[in-house]
Amino acid sequence: MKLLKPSWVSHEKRSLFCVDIHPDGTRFATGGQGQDRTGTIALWNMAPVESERAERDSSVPRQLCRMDDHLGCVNCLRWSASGRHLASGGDDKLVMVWQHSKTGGSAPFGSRQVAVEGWRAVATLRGHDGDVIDLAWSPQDAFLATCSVDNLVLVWDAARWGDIVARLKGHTGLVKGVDWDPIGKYLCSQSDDRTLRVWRTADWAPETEVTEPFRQTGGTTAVLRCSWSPDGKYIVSAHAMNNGGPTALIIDRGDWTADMDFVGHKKAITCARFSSAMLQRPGEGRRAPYCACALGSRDHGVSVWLTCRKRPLVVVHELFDDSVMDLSWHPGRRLLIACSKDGTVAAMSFTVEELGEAMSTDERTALREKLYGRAALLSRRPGQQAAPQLIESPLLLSVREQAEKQSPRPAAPPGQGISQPPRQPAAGEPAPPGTPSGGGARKQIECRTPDGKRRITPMFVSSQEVTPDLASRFSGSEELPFTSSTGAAATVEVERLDTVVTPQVSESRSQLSAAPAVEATPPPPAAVAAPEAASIAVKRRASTDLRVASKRIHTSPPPAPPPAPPPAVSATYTASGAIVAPLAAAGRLTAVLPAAGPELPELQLEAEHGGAAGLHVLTCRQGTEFRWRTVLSSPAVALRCCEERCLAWTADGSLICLSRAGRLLLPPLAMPGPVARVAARGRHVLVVTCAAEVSTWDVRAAAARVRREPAAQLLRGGARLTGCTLTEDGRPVLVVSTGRAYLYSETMAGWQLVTDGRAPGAALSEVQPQLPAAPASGQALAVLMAQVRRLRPAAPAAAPALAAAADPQLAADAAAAFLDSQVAAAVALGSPGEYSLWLAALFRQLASCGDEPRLRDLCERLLGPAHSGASLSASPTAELGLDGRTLLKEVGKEYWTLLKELLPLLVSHLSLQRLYTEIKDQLDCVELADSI
Amino acid sequence: MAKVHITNVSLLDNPAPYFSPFKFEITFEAIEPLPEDLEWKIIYVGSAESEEHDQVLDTVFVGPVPEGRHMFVFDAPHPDTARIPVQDALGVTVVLLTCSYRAQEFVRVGYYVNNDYTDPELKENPPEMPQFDKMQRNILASSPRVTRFKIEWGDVKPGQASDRP
Repeated sequence: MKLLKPSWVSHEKRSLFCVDIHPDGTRFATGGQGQDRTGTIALWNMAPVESERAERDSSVPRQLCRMDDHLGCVNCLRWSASGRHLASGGDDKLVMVWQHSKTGGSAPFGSRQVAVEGWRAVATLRGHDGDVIDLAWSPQDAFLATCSVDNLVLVWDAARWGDIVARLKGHTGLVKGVDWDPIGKYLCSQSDDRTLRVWRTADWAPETEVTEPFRQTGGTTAVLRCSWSPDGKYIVSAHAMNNGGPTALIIDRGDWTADMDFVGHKKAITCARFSSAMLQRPGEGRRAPYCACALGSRDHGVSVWLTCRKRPLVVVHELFDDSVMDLSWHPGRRLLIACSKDGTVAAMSFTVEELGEAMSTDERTALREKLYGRAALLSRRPGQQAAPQLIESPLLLSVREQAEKQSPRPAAPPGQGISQPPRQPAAGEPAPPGTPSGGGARKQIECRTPDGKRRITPMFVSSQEVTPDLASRFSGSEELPFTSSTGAAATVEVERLDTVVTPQVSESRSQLSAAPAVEATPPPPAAVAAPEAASIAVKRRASTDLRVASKRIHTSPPPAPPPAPPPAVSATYTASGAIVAPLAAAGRLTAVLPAAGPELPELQLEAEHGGAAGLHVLTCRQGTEFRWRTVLSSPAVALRCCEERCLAWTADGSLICLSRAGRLLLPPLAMPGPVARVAARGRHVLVVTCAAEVSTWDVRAAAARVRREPAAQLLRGGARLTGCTLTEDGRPVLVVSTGRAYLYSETMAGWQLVTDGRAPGAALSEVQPQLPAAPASGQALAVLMAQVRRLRPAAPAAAPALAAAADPQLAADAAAAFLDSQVAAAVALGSPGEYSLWLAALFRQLASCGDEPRLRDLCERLLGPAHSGASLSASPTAELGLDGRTLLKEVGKEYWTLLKELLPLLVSHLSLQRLYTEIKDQLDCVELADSI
Repeated sequence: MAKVHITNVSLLDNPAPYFSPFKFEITFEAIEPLPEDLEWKIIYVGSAESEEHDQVLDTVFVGPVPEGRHMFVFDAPHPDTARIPVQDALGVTVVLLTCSYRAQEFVRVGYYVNNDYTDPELKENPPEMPQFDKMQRNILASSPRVTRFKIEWGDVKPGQASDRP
C-alpha cells in the first residue's frame, strides 16, 4: 500500500467535509467550508494524485474548478453513476446539482482561483429545513436521496428536478447518513436518534429499524455515513457500540440482524464506504467474490476491511490531525481517498495482491441477478407497473407505430424498466421570452423611468449552457477565464429610447422607485420598444397601455376598449359605501368609430371639457377633417363606440347615444348609479356602477339585457375589480384582482368562474396546450387567461402548486381538475376552438396517468348516448359535454371527428388498450352511419 | 445562493481624461429569471477619509433579466469636482460598482483609481488648486476587490406566496 497526502488539495486549510471520486476516475470533488462561513466545492484532477510524473509536470492542471455558490458549509457531495451530475448539500439547507458547462471555466469574479472547467448548477433543490448532511444517488440515477438535521430523508426525482418523490418521516433525530441498496429495493439512513432505518423504495414505507447496537451511542459525530455493500448483502453502519467500544455494525440484508461488527477504532466511526467494485482474488481456483469497505473515525484513523477476511487489511493511525469526514474509492484503480476536518486529504493506493481484482460490470450484474433475480434489478419508478403489459390487438400495434413516427414526443412506453435519462435542454430550445434571439442584437436598450433614471435591458449573451456529456478530457493549456480588464471599445451597442418605463421594483421593499402605482405590473419592456404613441397622457402610462395605443394607430381596430380607466383605489371608496371607484372626468377622451364600408369611413371622436368657454364638447373628425360637434350637459367620463353609435357617459350619470352623424338617438338614459367601469362590444354595452352592480344593454334593440346584477360578492376580501369585458354574444365578464374571471349566466342568473389563475393545476405549465402568443378575438378564454396572468406575473399560485408537486399523483389530479375547468369554461364562453384545444389537453393528461374511468366517461360523452353502453334513461341533454357537441357543430365540426383525433393518444398507455379498441369500434360505426 | 453573478467587468476607455465618463462593460449571469429589476450604481469615493465625499455617479435599473448570461455598458458622468476635497484631488482613490436586488446590495466591486497630471511639469510641481482638466484617470482594472453579501432573493416558499397585485 502506498500513502500520499497531496498538500495541494486544500481549501486554503479550511475543513474538508466530503470527497467523492468521479465514476470515470479522472477527477474528484472535495467540499467544505469556504470563506466567511460559506461553502466551497473544488474539483481536482486525479492524474497528479495517481502519478508522480503528472504531479511534477506544471502543465497538468490540479484544480479544475471551484464552486462557491453554497452559502453554508458543504457537508456532502456525490457523483451520479453516469458521472454527468454532481450533487452537493450544505448548511444552507440547499441541495445543488451540477453539470459540466460548455462556456468554459468560470472562476468567481475577482478571485484568484484558476478554473479549467466550468460547472454550473442545473438545479437547486429546496426542501430541507435544516443543514443537509448526506446524500446518495439511486443505482440508476433515477432518484437522489438527501438527509438533513430536519429529521427527514427526501427522495428527489432526478428526471424532474424539484419534484420530491417521497418524504421519509420517522427519524426523531438529525439524519446524518443515507445510502441506497445497489439493487434498488431499499434505502438506509442513520440518525442521531440512535437508529438505522431501512425504507422500501416500492412504497417508501419503513422496512425495519435497527436500534439495539446504537443504544449507547451519543451524538458526537458530525456525520454518520453508512454504506451498502455492492453485492447488496450488507449495510455497514457508522458509529455503533459493542461492549462499550465503538464499532461499525454489519447488518445482514436477509433478516436485518446485526451479529457482526468491525471493531478496533478508538473513537466513533464517522463514515463507512464500500468500494463499488466486487473483488476477487487473482489467480485462485475458486474465485469467491468479496467487497472492500473503508472506515473513517474520529480517532483520526482509517481502516480498510475485506469481507473475506476477519482482520482488517490495513489500519492507518493518526492519518490526520482531526476527525475523518468522508471516504471515496476509485472505481477501477484500487485507490481510496479520505478527507478530514483538518483540511487535508489522503490517498491510499493498493496493489492487486493486497486488494484483489475487480470483477467486470457484466460479472457483477450476473452475480446480482443470481442473488436477487433479474426482475429485481429493473429500476422502479412510481406509478409503473411491475410487469410489462402485452399488446393484445395488432390494430394497436400499428397505431402505436404511427404515433411514434408522427411525433417523438409521447413518453417512452412505460413498464419497460429503462430509467429515463435526465432531461436536457434541447439544442434548439427557444430563447427565454423577452430576449433578443440569436446574433444581430448586440445591443442594450435604454429607457427612462418616470423619475429620470435610466432602465437598461441588457444584451442577452447566452442561456446557461450545459454540456450533456462531460468533455473528454481537459487540456492544461486552455485559456484562463477572464479577469477584469481594460477594453478599448464597447462590444455592446446602446440603443436609447425616449419611452418612459416603470422599473420593476417592488414598492414595499424599496423607496427608490417613484413610479406611480399602476394596477398591473408592466409587462417586460419587449413591448416598450413600440413606436411613440399618441398623446402624452397615454405615454406616461404603463407600457401596457402603450401597446394598446400603438395598436390602435397602426391597425384598423375592432371596437377595442381605449386605454383603461384610471386605477381603482379600493380602500378609500369602501368607506363611503362604494365598492369600485367611480370614473373621474378626464381632460380629454378619445374613441374611434371604425369604418363600415366605403361610404362610411373611420371617424375619430374626442371629448373635451373645460375648454375655451368652459363647455363640454364632443368633436368628431374624419382624419384631420372636422365632421361635427356637439355640446354635452356635463363632462364626459367615458367614451365608446359600438354598432355605428357613439356612446358617451357623462359625469351627471347619464348615457348619451349618438348616431354616426351626431344625432341623438335616444334621450339620455340615467345610469343605475355612479359609473365605475364601462365596456362595449358588438351591439352590447356594459356598465359597472360603484356599488358593483352590472347592467348591460343591447343598443341596437334599445333593450336591457342584464339588470343591475350585483357583483359585490365577487369583490369580497379586498379583491378589486380590474377589468370588465363582454363576450361576443354580449354576456358580461368581470376580472377580479384575485386572478379570477367571472361570466354572468343569464339562465343561471349568477356568476360563473371561468378563469382561475390560482387554480392549483394552473401553475403546472406542462399540462397547458400550446397557446397562441397573442390571443385572437375568437379565443375568449385565452384573452381572459392573458388578462389574469398579467395580474399576477410573479407568483401564479406557486404555493399550492408546490405542495401538489410533492405528490405526483396529487399533481396529476390537480392538473386534470384544472383542465376540466378549462373545458367547462370554454363551453360557457362559447369558444369552440378552445373547447377542442383544452379537451385534447385533458385527454392527454388523463391518458398519461392512465385514468381509465374518467377517459371512458369523456369518450362516451363525446360519442353520445346512442352509441355508448350507458343506459338511455339517463338524461344526457343536461350534461355539459353535450353543450360542447353543439358548440362543435356550430363550426361545422362533428363531435366524433374530435374524438377521432384524440383517440390515438390512448395508445401511449398500454393499460388503456381495451378502452381504445372499444371506443374505436363504436367510432367506426358512427363514421359508417354518417357516410351512409 | 445568489441568483446573479458578475462574470466580467471590462473597463472601457481607460485610462481617460478626468472629465470623460466612466464606462463599465458588465457581464453577469442569472441562474433564474428575475421578476424584478437589478439596480446598479457607480459610486466615486471622493476622499478616503470619510464617506461624506462619496458621490453616486449614476444609478440604472437593469431588466428584465431572464435566465442566462447578459451584458450591458454602464456609463456614468465624471465626478463633481466641487465635492472633492482639494487635498484628495490627486492620487489614489476608489470607484465602486454595486448591484442591488430588491433594494439589498449583494455585490460590490471596488477598483483603485489613480488621478494624476499627464504633463510631466505639472506632475513634478502640482499647482495648489487642482486643474482637473489636465488630469488623467487610471483605473486599476486588473485587481478588482469583490465583496459579496448574502441577501433575501425572494424564493417563493410553499405557503407564503407573495401577494402583490
